[in-house]
Amino acid sequence: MDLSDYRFSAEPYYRPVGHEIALYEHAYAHRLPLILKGPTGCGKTRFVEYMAWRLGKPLITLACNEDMSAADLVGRFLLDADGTHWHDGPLTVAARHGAICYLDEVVEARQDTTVVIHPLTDSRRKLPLDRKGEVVTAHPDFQLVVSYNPGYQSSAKSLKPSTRQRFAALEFDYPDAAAEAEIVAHEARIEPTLAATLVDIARHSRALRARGLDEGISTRMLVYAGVLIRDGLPAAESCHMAMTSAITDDPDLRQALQDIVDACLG
Amino acid sequence: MPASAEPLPPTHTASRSLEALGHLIDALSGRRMNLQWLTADKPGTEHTRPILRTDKLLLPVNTDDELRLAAIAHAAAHLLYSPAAQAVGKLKPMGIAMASTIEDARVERLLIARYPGLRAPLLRQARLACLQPQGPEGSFPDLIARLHLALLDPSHQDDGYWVSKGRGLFEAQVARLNDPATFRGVASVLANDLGQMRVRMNLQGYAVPYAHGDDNSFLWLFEQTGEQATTSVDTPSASAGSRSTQTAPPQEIILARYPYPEWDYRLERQRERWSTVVERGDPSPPGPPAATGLRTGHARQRVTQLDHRVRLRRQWEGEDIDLDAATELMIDRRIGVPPEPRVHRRSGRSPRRRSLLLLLDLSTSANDVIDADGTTVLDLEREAAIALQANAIENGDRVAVHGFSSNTREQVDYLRLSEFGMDDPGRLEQTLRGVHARHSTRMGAAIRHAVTCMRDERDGSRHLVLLSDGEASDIDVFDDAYLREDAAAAVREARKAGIHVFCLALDSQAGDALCRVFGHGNYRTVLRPAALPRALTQVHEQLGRR
Repeated sequence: MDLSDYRFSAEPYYRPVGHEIALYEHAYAHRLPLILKGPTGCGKTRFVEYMAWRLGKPLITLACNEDMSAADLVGRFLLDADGTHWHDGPLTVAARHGAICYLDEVVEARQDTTVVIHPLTDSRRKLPLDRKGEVVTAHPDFQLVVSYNPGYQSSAKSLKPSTRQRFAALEFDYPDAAAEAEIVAHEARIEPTLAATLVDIARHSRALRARGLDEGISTRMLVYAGVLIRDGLPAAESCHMAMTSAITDDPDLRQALQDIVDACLG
Repeated sequence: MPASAEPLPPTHTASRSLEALGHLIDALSGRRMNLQWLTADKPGTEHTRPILRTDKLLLPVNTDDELRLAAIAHAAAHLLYSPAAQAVGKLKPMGIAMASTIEDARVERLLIARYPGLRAPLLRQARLACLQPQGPEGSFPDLIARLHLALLDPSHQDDGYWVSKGRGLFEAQVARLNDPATFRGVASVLANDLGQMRVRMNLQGYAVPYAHGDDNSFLWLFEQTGEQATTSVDTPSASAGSRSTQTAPPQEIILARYPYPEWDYRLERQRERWSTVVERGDPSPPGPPAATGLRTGHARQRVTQLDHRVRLRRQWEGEDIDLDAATELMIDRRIGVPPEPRVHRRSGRSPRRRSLLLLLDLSTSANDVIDADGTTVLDLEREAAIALQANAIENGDRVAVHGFSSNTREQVDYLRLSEFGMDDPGRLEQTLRGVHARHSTRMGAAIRHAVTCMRDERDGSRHLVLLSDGEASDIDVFDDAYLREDAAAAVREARKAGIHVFCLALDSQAGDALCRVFGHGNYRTVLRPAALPRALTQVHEQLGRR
């Protein structure tokens, strides 16, 4: 099967903040399954894309949700003119043909769905397709990476210990102010001083997590705001549109965030 | 607190709420600040200036929105840049006022450098103070207001000799803005000049001339600290003298006692085994079941969730092929009939399984009579509980009804009126008839015990719905914030345990406190008590759809 659509032709921009690249390479060398933990919009998905490019492997990404079933991962029978034929799901494609399979927000999937990854993530490295009566042995290049955000989910949604213990984990957080400003300046193509101001706003918003804000303003939101400013929109309006209005429905928190935006922009 | 007599701050849309201002000062100062309105103890003694402490800011209630924003900025400036509680030493009142003014200007300049957007609101207040002087030209308040403006706005013109000198001395040191000691020197020169100019300071009536400036008690350590404290800080030790002598009715048998911790927001830690929940038995003896007024109602749209036990056949798409449909399709094709393309099977949805605990506030306030017929709040709570149970059973939810009241931390009475799985409306109605309202509302302990009661409800989502007047209170606690913060902590713990807590409150005034305790979107106030049963039913239907 041709996985060229899943390969990266150009290098995705990623600015390392620690040893995560070396750590990932070691994990990949031994094909250890990985959990990427961290708040939303801090660069988990970009990191996987960058690593897939760096290792020269295709990347198959799947966003998990509550209604997802095991068949959505492993595949199902379809009917055509000649009868039934089996259609591999994204996880099976990755295992069969040697891609990195990235399950984004894995805790959103129900626990009875996530157990299908178990035989793939231990020394067996096999994926039984019980409906089809086949056992797929994982390609040597195959690796499973999942991500989740431990911050806002209630304890009702978390990984089962039996799933969790199959993974090594890399923890992500928003980069330090200088690095984050560099990222925002690069991604939004704006002046470093403006990027630093945007990062300053985000830092303040993250301090409001104790006061009921589920998540602080993410690096991704800063890039959005930066892009709007680059387009010529007034800075305050761009920030309100891309950041403060988007992040919360609570009028008091929104007001406080707008005041912070106004205070920092001047 | 005589807060009820005070008009609440205007609530037009442009005005920032106390909550929003609280978020702002936290974000600016990087501290967890407690923000409160400053109300008069008696008419004519209104505070006109904010009061800043290391952990709280009291804002005068009768202020406009712009002034509040400037006051928040000013307080944040002190919190960020001012050394707190400096020794007064040999400084006289005028020296203290002078040093405070220079310090105010110094920290505001630093704040403006850090947050350029705060320059406009601060400058506006500084200008207002000069336009509306507190005294005649050349008086102490006039000079202070003008100096403050001159130091804040280098482009401002002021020809006064003393103001110009002050500006000159200040600007000469501006490179060392981060060093407060340098500016103490500037202040002492200027205070000395005032003495020589024979400018007098009115010791009794002096207030900082710019209204956004606090009373500067944050900066200084006076001999008698705490004298100006406006909110008394009390420990919640049981005051035995004021203990109610009301005794429990004999039919209430104590079943068990459970110790629970309480969160003390001033210590920022839990007091272990601080409150005791006393679980009591069935308050009414079993009798003949009353006729149920159960209303069956029309079919409702139920809350559903994916259920693998429900298999839907002949679907457009799905996980599996529906063998019967596939066979028919092949047959149709062979005999040349247009085939039916719906050949998949997939899981269907079934009603969501939920457990719901309704916790009734059985404090004295439930005895309030709300109409001419003598209907009490408690009557409505009963009616609402019965309607909710019927509605829950109809939706396939598991439901329990409990009640609580408290009489100091040593006696938080807790009644299990109806248990999960006991879905007999007649029985609940009868039990509820034997319930009386009394004592106070120690919400935190009751929430913690309700969470314990829901421990075994593991199937599906769990919701705790509190029916209350919205304010936590008890006779051994005098600090309004204490039980409120404890209740907020209890709600956070419940959330961690995977239980969603919602409050339906009867007091529309309690909005701020409710938001603080239950969080945005997790409470609802009912304006008319009569609407309570209906509101509770609506809340129940919305739970879990969020």
